[in-house]
Amino acid sequence: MIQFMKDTKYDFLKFSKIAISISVAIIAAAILVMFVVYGGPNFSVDFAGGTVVQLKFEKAVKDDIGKIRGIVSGLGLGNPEIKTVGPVSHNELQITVKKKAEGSLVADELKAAIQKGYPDNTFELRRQEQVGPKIGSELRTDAIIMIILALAVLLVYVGFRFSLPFGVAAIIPLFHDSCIAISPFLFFNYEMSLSTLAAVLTVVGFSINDTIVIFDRVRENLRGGGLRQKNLTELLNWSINQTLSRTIITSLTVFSVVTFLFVLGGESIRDFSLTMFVGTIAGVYSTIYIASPILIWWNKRWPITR
Amino acid sequence: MDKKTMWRLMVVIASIILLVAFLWNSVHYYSMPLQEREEYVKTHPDILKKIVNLGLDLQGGMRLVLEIDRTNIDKSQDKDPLDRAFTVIENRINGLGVAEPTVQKQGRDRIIVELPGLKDEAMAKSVIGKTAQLEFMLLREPMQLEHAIEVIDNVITGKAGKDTAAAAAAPDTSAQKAKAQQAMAEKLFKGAESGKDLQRKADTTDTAALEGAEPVSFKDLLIGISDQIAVRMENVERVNAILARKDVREALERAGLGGNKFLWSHDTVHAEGTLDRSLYYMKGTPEMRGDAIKDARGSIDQSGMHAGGAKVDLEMNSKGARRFSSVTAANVNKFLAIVLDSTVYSAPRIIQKISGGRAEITGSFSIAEAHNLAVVLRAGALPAPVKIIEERTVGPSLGQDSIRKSMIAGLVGGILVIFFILIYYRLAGAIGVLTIILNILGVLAVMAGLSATLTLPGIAGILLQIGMGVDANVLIYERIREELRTGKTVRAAIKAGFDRAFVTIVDSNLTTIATALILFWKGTGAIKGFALTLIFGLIVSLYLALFVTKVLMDIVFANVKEKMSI
Repeated sequence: MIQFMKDTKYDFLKFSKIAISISVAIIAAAILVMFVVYGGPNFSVDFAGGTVVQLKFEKAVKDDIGKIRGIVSGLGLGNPEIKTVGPVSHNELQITVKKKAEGSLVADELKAAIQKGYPDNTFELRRQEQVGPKIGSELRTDAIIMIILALAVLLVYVGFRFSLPFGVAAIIPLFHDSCIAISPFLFFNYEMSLSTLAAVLTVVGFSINDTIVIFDRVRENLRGGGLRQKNLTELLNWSINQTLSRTIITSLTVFSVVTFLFVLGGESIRDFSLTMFVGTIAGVYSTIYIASPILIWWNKRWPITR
Repeated sequence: MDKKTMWRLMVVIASIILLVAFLWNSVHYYSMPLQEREEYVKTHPDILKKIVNLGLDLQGGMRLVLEIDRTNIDKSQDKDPLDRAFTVIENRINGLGVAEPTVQKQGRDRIIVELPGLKDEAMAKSVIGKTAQLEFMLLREPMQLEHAIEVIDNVITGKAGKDTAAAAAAPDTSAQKAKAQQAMAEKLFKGAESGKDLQRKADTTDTAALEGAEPVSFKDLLIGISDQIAVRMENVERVNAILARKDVREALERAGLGGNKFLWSHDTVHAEGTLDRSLYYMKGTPEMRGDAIKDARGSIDQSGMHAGGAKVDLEMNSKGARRFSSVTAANVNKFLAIVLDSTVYSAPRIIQKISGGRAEITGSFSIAEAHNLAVVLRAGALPAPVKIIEERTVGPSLGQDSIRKSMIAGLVGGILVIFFILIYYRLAGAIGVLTIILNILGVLAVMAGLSATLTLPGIAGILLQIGMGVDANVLIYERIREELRTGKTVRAAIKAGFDRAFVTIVDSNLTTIATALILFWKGTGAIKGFALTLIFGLIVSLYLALFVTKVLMDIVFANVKEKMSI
């Protein structure tokens, strides 16, 4: 029989101060980089409004990005973002135009102009997205509502099933996980889209799952009279150790699926898998280093009895 | 095995049979090549309601969000621009010939159009953007219709020489004579152009090839419903092909019938277990247009012959009233069809001359149908312009790529997880692997049962299920191992393991379901699809972990006293 982590007695919470500092530093750095280096968040057309066309050309266009940029700016659409999709040999380009004003639905103009510039090179439309500015701002509002609502529902659920301190201790790490999950997007100025949002909410689901497993064990140990022999820190450490092999196996399986999705799943799903990739790590870590210290801190002020 | 375990095993087997039954159609459908699927849908129109449907991001297609342009609409006067725009757009979308289009109203001024498998997105958008055309057209007499059918049949069954004779047998009006003579002259002229004749022949053979070897007469495709003609739904395209044939159109023109039009009804009729669409034969030039109408309302008749029945009150403007008066005076007892964008919505009979600009359309319709007809009339009178505020189009090739790539990622990831679980948990791991597979199939079966739509994020959701579904098994198995270490018997350890893990599994699944529900509620398009698979997956996973795994563990380890393979 193989058994990871049998009867371990690691003192995880010894490092909680350092861990929290690192977390805070990463989040602060990501936000700082986003504002100072890139001048604000980079939203995809989903949230910013604009047009994306993804075209697969028949003949090579790899040296023509400048030319296409010229064609698009010639239409008065500002400076487009142009990038190759997949291997260069696929001749596939993605052209993004973001414009806040009315008339951001310009795919047809764009395609006509490009076809005119390439009379002897045809292209196939792979994907086209046009989002009016109104829809973009609605989707932004919806995204915020969704996240707040999700956290509120979870606070109420955990608050009822456990108790208020557990609810609070379960929710705050979710903020942390969401921020860490999108931090690569902030550091590298990647576009945040609807799939990023879906991934963040999935991370939230996964992370609360992990927290609940450990809290369940804490509750069980508390009921068994754990606090008579141990203080809360010891009891938390004990519970984390008891569930450690489960934590490792589950996160390994989720993590390996997400990794393969990231590597093999293709461009369309990369945003999603990248967010999940980082978020799953954050989700496991935050139960131990964010949720548990909050519980301990709470217990010092208002002792948790049961 | 005791009786209780036996019963529980039966339930497990029954759920597996149910699962297979739900998935049967989907497997059958998706194992066909693409072309065959299109044919299959035509012969089995219900199939799409029995399978997992692919979202637009996977099969390719277009999703549009349209918004009523209210800049020229007077808010206080205009109550139903959304209904009118919806009627117009729905009618046009149905005319596009795209399989399974959906048109939905959203909120107070939006319409969502989804066109799967669409090939020409620019054309579809231009069709949606056009202004609505409402026309009042007179139906032709049965005699003229019979004549037209005869002419068409002469052409398609090869007796082309007869058509001049048929023209002579036509009702003898001088106008038609003149037309016939003109047609004759044209025929002589065209006969000289051998190139055109060749073209005509090519056209004919093309259509013949399309229709199969045996020539079908036009008349055989028609069925009579009272004093009207209709066509079985499966034959509608054939009839369209015949009517579009160049030689048919020319023959009709020569016979002096060129000014008439065949138009389809909007509604379909159920008759004798088949679905039919009515075909109307009309005078080509409309008597009146939508601009003649001031207002139209559906209401219940308070008095008169049809008291209690639904009717539509039609109000014309002064110019329209004069025109209507003369049209009705000249055509009493004839049928005047209401045609929106070349689709016939209703063809009431003119009972008497109507002057004064107020008309009533009565008949055997419900109040809802009367309301709909009134909307059609208003749609033609008061345009409700729409603009596209969001478009998402995915080409079919990208969709195929996405399916292939995510399948590979899922297979590789899945196989790795399965190996790991088998090595780590051995015999119990085999049960775990079975539940992982059942979990994925179960999600798909539920989706097939509800004919839900699978999107690319949805596939990601199912793949995550491999990871998360394992969690329930891991929780149970780790707990059983712990209990075994404290020296419990195998039986007691299994029981304690399940009892202890139960609460944790329920709590962790319910919280994840809660977040997925929020995604489903507020999310759009593909995100909704993702949330849906996640919710179904978690529910299926709960059932599998708390019931199926328990039953299988009880049976597999029933006679194991020590050294449990876990």
